[in-house]
Amino acid sequence: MGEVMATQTVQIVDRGRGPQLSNSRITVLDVFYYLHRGYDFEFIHRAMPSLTSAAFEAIVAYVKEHHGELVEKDRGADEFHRQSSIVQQGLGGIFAESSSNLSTEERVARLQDNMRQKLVEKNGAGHPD
Amino acid sequence: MPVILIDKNIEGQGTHIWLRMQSAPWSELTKVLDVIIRTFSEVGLEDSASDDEVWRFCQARGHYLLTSNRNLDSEESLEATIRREGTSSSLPVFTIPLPDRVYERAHVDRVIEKLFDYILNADNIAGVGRLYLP
Repeated sequence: MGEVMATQTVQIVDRGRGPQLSNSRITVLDVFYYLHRGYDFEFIHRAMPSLTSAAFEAIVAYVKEHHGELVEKDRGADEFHRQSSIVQQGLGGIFAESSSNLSTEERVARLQDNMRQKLVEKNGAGHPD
Repeated sequence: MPVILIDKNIEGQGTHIWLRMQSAPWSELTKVLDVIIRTFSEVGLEDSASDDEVWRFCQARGHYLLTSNRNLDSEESLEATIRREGTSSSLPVFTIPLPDRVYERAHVDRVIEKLFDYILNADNIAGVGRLYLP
C-alpha cells in the first residue's frame, strides 16, 4: 500500500550521440530527416516500425523547440554524406557510383559476370603452367 | 556467410531490401553469395545499444552494419566511433544517405547491386569506414 506506480514515459535524452529516445537508439535527427521533408507518421513508422506514437510525439515536441538547430544539423549531415560520397566515388572501380541507366536484369548479369571472373581468378585459370 | 545488420533507424527499409533480395531476379545471386539480413532482435542486440556497442558487436561477429545514421559531431556518435576505433582491417559500415528513396524500385535495385558489388569484393573494402549505397 502507498507504493507509487512508476509510469513509463519516453523522453529525449543525450547520451553523447545527440538527442535520442530514452528507450531506443533512434535519434531525433533520424526522425527529423523525414519530418523536414514532409513525411507523416505513417511513412516514418514504415521506416522505423519500433517507433511508437508516444515516442514520435516526444520527438515532435522536441523539434518544435529546436527547429532551427535541427535544420542546421540536417543540412550538415546532408553535406557530409554528399562530400564523402564524392570522395568515395572518386576512387573508381568498385567504389564508383552505380549507373542509373541499367535495367535490373543488366545489373544482375553484370554481377554474375564479375562473380564468374572472381572464380576464374580464384582457381588460377588462365595462368601458364 | 555475409550478415548485414539493419540499424534501428532503417529497419523498414532493411526489411524492404531483404524482401527484394529474395525475389527475382535477385534471389539467385542472394543465394549464391549466401547473404542474409538480420535485425537487432534477431542477433540479440538491445534497441537502445550505443554506437560503440553496435560497432564493436559488428566487428566481433563479422557483421556489416546497414544504417542511415545522421548524427556526426557528437563524441559518442557512430562517425566518431568509426574514426576512433577503426583499423585497416575493420569492416565497413554501409550507409544509405537517402533512406526515403529505398522504396522506389529503381533505387532499391541500385542499392542491392552496390551492396553485392562490395560483398563480392570483401577483401578490398576493409578499413574504409563508411561505404555509401548506392
